[in-house]
Amino acid sequence: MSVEPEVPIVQVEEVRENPVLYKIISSDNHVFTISEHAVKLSKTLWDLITNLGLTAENALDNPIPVENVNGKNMETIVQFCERHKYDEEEPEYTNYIREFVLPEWDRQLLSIDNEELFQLILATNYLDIQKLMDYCCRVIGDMAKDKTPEELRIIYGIPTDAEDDALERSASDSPGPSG
Amino acid sequence: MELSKPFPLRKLPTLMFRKVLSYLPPHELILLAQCSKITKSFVRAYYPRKLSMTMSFSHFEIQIFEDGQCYEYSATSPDPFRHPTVYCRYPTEESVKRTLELMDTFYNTLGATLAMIKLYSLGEVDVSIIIDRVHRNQPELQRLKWKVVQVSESTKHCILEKLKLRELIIEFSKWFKLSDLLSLSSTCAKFALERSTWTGEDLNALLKEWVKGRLPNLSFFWIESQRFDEETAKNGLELLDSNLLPVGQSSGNSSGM
Repeated sequence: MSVEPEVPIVQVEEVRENPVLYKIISSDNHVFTISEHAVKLSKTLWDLITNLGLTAENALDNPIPVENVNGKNMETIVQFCERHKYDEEEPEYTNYIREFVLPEWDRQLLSIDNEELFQLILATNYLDIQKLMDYCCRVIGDMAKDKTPEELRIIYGIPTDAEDDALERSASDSPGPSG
Repeated sequence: MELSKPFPLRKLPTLMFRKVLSYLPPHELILLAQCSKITKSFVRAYYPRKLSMTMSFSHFEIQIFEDGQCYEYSATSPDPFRHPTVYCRYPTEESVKRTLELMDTFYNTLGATLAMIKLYSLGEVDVSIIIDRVHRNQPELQRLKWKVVQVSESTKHCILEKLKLRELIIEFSKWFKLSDLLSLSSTCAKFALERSTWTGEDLNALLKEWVKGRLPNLSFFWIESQRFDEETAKNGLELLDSNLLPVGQSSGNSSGM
């Protein structure tokens, strides 16, 4: 019987860790520190950092305000980015493999209530974090497994045809911008 | 325990909505589309994948193909989207009807295009109904496999001229004459005639017409017959060795070009 050697993950991470850190301020004034490798997963943040000319020397003195994302979501996002910062880039087609199983760590991270998940996905979209977007969408898609249309209507909050018609009527009855 | 609020799927940004749809298999998309008319129109508009399907009237089932994956749905299942591999016995007419309804559902909801039909052992009325229904959705068909022992002239022309076919494979093709092939629209690129009664003269005449350019889109022709010999088929034609590929069989001859 072979015994697998213990992998010194922490040491490896330490060796690979880039010392450059950035500060991010959420919409409700929570401050987060994030490493350079992790922040690169967000195209929006990395573009911002590049455009602002932040460097290893001045990064921590110039926190980046992100007004569209609250602290709770930012915490999840930072955790996710730190977790996946050394992942190898996946070929584009991987996103389309339906049988892909979400890693357990990520499933746990995304086991939040639907309202929070919706806000998180909007934040992810704003920050343009491809991998987290994909994972969130998989969680949303998985909700549909083995469900009837009636169950799906409840899970996804889909109005019936009659409710849609009523909503449309009330929207057309309400006064427009001019009065 | 407090129940979580619904997830507002329809309020997702378009990119996300498309991603979610792309992770659902065809039957889950259909079930989602059944939630409401607006949801169906959303699914139809934003589903990002290209699907093709084949429709078999031997087993009354539809296969959906997507990026190398294949999903099979039995039209005779009482609930094909939740229990796709349950087979029930219905009269043929009812099975045909259910198969066509299934085809329409995949076409209308997911834009799945029909690539192949297998018409096996069906009456002429059923075959005409099927071709009419297919033609409503699409004027062209990649491949038609038709297995029929006998067919009337009117049905023959109705079937073969209604759809623009890219490939036609006829099993038990005794009824399919040279004149039928020559009168077909010139879109067909591949022909295969199994168990035909063509003679060497028929094949020779076809080859000469083909050389003359009568069938400009034809790129492959395969025929099986017990009634022709290679010499008659080649008569008057200058052939490269690789052009005519006769395959000797104990029960007959077949040639592919």
